[in-house]
Amino acid sequence: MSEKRKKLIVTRYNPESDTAPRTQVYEVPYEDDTRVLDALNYIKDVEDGTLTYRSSCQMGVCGSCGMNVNGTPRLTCATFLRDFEGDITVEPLGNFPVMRDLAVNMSDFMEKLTRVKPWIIREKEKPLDEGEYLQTPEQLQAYRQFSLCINCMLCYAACPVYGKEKDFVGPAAIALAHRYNEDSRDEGRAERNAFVGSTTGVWECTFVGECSEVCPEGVDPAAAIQREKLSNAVDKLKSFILPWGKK
Amino acid sequence: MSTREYRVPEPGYKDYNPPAPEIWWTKRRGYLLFMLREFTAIFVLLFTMRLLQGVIALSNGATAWNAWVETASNSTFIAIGSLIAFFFVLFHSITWFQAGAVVTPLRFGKFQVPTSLFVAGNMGLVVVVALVIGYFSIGG
Repeated sequence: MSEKRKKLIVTRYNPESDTAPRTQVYEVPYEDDTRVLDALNYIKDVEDGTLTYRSSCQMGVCGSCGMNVNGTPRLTCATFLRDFEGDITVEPLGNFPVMRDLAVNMSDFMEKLTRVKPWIIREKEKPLDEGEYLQTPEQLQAYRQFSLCINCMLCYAACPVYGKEKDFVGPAAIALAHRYNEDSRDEGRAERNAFVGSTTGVWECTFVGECSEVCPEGVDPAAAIQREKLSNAVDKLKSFILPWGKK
Repeated sequence: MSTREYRVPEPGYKDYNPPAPEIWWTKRRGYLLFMLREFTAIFVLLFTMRLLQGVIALSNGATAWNAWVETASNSTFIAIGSLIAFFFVLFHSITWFQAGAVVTPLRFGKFQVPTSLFVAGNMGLVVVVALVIGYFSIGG
């Protein structure tokens, strides 16, 4: 059986010598079970040790190996070479500053992630001896989908709003805020809203919906953002009709 | 490698900031559909203005109303314009109900109403309402 080979057109950027990214073509052998990440590992091991990219678990759990493959943000460990006709372009995730080759600078996302306070906030913690905060399966179901995010940032790479407006809190961070807002044990919605409900928060979103299309975990961040918009609008209406109500 | 050995990039190393192209909406099918959806607003506006013109004509009496009906039935421009507007408004409605299915998902016990059924149900309701209005305004 003759060996199957495919061309990978890979974006290279060396901050020490380049002013803009360039591309480099590598030809790699592949089988039916070869993934884009395997191909990159092959290049790094055999062809060119200087190629830089991120990866860790290699099984779709850690969210490190997101890249634009033929223009679409994907986890390279879950993308097979056999699914593509012709050459494959591998670029760093869109909308992010490129540090080197295929590795992007994720500081902006990390900062936004902490600012949505993705943890359970209680107005008053109950003492340990009073036991756990109980939750029914239905209450769990209300937010479970939104808790599956692996922070791979594919949604940011697919979001044209984030591409134009870097202040936008963005899909994954808002989805995570929504996950805690919907948690029956949580009381931190008002606290999160200062950031999430602002003009650079949910209201920046124009509902293009591509974030949900590229999400490898089926989180549906677009739905989370639209539902946060709705509850924000209802809150506003309530405070208008019942100004004496709970703030 | 311990964290002490981890090398922080030297000052002067610059990240490359990719430009955001003005024609971003041509890059993906989803982007194009989004732009088309937003574009429908213009036709919804034009159609509403034309309708509003009719309502004003109606309040101005029989002569004005008949003149409005006359131009509407004799102008090819208005006929073609209305047809185009109709398809855009139809597309707009479908995307609106698709958004509705995402924002306010319907659930009956364990059954989650899928988006397609949500859209079909709402569009069905639109047709029923249109038929009722049509019956009373033309046939009734």
